[in-house]
Amino acid sequence: MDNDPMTLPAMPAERLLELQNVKVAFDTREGRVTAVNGVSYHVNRGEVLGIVGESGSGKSVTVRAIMRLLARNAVEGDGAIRFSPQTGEEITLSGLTKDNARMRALRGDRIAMIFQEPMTALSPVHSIGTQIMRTVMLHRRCSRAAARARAAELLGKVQLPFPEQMLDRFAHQMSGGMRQRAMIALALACDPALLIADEPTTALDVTTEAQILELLKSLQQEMGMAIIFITHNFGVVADIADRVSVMYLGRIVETGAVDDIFYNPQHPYTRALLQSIPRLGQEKVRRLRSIRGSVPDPYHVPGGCPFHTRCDHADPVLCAAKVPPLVPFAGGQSALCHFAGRLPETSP
Amino acid sequence: MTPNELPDDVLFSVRNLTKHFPVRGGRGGHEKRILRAVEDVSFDIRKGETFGLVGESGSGKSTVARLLLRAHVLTGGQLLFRRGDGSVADISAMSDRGLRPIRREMQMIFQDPYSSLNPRMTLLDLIGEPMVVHGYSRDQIARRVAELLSYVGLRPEYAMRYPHAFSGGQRQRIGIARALALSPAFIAADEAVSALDVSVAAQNINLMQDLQEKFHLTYLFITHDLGMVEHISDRIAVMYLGRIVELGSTGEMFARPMHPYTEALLRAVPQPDPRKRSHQRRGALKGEVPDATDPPPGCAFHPRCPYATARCAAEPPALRVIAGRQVRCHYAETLTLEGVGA
Repeated sequence: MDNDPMTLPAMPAERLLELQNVKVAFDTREGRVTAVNGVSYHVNRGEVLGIVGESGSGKSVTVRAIMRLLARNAVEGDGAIRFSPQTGEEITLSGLTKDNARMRALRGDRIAMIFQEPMTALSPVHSIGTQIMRTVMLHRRCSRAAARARAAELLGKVQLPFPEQMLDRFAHQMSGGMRQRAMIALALACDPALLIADEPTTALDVTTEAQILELLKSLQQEMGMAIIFITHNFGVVADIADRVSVMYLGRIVETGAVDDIFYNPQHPYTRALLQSIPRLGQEKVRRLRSIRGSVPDPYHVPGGCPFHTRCDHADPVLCAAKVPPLVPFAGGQSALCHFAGRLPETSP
Repeated sequence: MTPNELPDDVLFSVRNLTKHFPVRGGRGGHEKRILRAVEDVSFDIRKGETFGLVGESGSGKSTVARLLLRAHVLTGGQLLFRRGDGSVADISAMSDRGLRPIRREMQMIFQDPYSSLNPRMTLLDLIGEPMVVHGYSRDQIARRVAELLSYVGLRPEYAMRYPHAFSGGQRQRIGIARALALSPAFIAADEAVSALDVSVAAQNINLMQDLQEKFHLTYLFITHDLGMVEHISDRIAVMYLGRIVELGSTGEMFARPMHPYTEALLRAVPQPDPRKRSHQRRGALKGEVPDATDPPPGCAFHPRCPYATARCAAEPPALRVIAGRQVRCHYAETLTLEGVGA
């Protein structure tokens, strides 16, 4: 496949971000380990793409590649990452260095990110207000007073009580839910076109998680940004995503509209994952369906289809030898499986 | 209750359990305050059942588990434990020396399979350590560890390996093997699968249920994952700010909660079902858990409760038994709350 960004066809007008065959490996003492092995996905303007996968599936490394924040020992393949902050303008992010001026202008302005653990993502020695003001002043060249007003407005937007007073608070003076709100305010400081949310609710209690999800959904509608929402929780993805990509061992194994992924999954891994979660209020079963074995470690990724060692439908010869094709279905759904479309029907 | 009065089917009886921690607050830490982590908690755990304990962080659920295992000294209350020989021991104020023979009958599985295993000990040492403490010979220990490893689905040859060679799910199994080493009757599992991936959590839950059947174990299962607790528990207690607000059998309670906090928790769980999205979040719980050193007057839940009245702010509700359910709400009979279910 030719990934030279110069020869790729222009992105459609509604397209905000496009990844084409992105590969990321890391050089470690034990050798080279591939974390992301040919990932392609896109995000349209104003939509929420959910990315689900177990630990080690490469979901976080992929978004770090978008942000150009990969660790120093990362080795990238020739895949293309293209970003279009507004219709007609196309920026190729792949190839940009971490400290590239263009990238630094985009980061925190057009693309922003929130993390799982706000305590480590926020500065412990700067007040929340200072952190937001610096972001605003860096990208907007406005006065301190204007930046402070904007910061207070943002803290109000994320529904923190007494936003004026919150400006002078430090991260350690806030509860987990408040810190997460503060981090969202910081990310939204410059009205980004794309918000990348990496497991932002995983460390929170269910009640706080529900509040943060509600907040993100209402801010997304109000401000119209697109979101890449990374999680391992299918409940969260069902709640917030328009489309979903499922990752396993550095590959996207299935993508589709949220309803198709949940009610008509085509990849054995998606099906197995959906069957292994206990659902509230469901008829009690003695045993949970589980996936046999565990996720192989990234140094020993199986050949052929990476999931064949744990798959109930695998053909021992075909699946172990050949990387499966991406099989398209109606409505933009696709599954990376030799047997996609030919698997037995599942009960929902 | 005197030990003789304990009903035959009860393994652990918890009466008016209370734990206060002194904390320092204010500027410079000069102000002394009391954190009421557990306040007047009572329940029975029956032999062979799985008793679930749920609540937000800071609700006191982990402290309850640690009190049951007497890892803390009680501030007040009584703990009765039925021993393997049928006798009942009052462990509420027992000395460490008196507790030692009883401790082998009660064990704990921890949340973090990384920090709860010493990286410099082999599986043989890790799993065998409780047996060393209780005076087994080296031979006995080696044989028992091999047996335990096979129970939890790990190969006996792994005994000489170190924990770093294992995945999170496998480490959790090592923790389970260690808990089983002395053939306990009671195991407290504190968020035992919360840190694991979906597919691995399901495997380990299945394993815990198989072991329960095989060895007639009784579990105290603590988690914030309501789907998981519903799957594994026979009965559930919901805690809020150190107190039990509702206790009952799992199916009935989740189908028709009687306490507004239980309803709110159930409603907050994101369902893996996009079609439920639209009506899911009606009335999501506002605000956060209050400071346990300064709990609200009256019903501790009233500032966040959508049904609260003036009475709730003034008068603390008692824990009452209604249709076999324990509920701490003034309006438990009159409210019609929404549960989950087909």
